[in-house]
Amino acid sequence: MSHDYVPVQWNRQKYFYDAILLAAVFIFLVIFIVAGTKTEAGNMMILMIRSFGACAIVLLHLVLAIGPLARLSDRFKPLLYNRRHFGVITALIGLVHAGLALMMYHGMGVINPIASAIGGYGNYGTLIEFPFESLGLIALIILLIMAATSHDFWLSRLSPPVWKGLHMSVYLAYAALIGHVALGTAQFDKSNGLFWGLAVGAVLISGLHISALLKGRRLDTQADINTTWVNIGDPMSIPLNKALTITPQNGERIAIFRHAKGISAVDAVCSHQNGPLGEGCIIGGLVTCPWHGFQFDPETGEAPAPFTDKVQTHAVKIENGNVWVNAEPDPFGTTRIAIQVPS
Amino acid sequence: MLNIAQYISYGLGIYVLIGLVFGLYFITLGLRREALAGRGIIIRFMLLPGAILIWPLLLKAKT
Ligand code: FES
Repeated sequence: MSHDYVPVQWNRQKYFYDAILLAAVFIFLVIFIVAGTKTEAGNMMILMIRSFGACAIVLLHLVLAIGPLARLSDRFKPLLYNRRHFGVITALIGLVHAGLALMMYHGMGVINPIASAIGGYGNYGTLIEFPFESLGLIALIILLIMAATSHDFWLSRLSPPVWKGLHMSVYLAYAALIGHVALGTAQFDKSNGLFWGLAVGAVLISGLHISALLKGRRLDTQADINTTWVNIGDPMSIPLNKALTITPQNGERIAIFRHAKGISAVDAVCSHQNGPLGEGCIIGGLVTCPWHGFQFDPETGEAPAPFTDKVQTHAVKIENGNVWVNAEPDPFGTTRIAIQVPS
Repeated sequence: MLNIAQYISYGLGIYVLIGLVFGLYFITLGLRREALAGRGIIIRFMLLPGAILIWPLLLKAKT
């Protein structure tokens, strides 16, 4: 938890999480291959290609579902703890799928396998001959970049906004993967089951994201957000050691915390991985992110030493018994002494 | 189409090759100027794939 990178140690919980994940992947692959040999007596290589491909898609759906699920229910928060390991395994499984497919379908010709896959024999002008492998390659490149830069070192090296931008491309990878599978199925497999499975998956993922967004909006106080100073209302409407959140018209969400020293406001987006800081609580006097537990002083927005992460503070005042927060963030590192709540 | 596909595949290959050279530099000499200086060899190798893939972003000096 540092802007200047300090390595995070592995612990028992991480090993346990990874062991379960790897066991689940292994069981999925075995069941897929065994079921495949029983139903279509398929070629083992083709079954392997399909099993790794299907596994990568299922894992990507899970990766995309974990964030909104954790916002909708605390029960899913433990899954967030190591979501990046999910992502790394998804990329590696996708890499195996791509490697096997290149060997099987494009490795024997005179053209180099990648050129063959992305356009050797297809026609981008028609859906039925569209080289769907190119969409898979785009998705794979994005997933590999995300996996390779998932380490906290890259977050601190690239800066949170750049890292976030890079990792938001997972949605592009998802769209490319949907196109890859839908076109591949239409051209070769023709099985409606996979197509409908993808459609249901896409609806579920969109539904979860929309629900999480609506929940965030519901948690926002109904303040007039069109002014620089936003009226939050009665200080006691803010639960002790928790926050109310608002979304100013042209800015990031703000979390207004009531804690032992008074009332403070900071940006509601965690500088670690953009977790919902406003849904966190005060532990030991520090704002604590619900996702991975990064902590920030509510008066300075700074993580306790030796860490150097920061979020921006906002000015707060109490007038006529109401709490007002300035929608404009302070420069990083600005100290705002907590405003005492009149008794 | 085949020509374009071949150029793209060669482009990808060259990108990764440059990335490999840069990545090896980054995890050995480059990290000396980072907060990670003096850390173990395992963590350096964990960073190698990232350095290979996003080397253009790393060419910019750390601010
Ligand atoms: S997002 Fe990881 S601690 Fe906040």
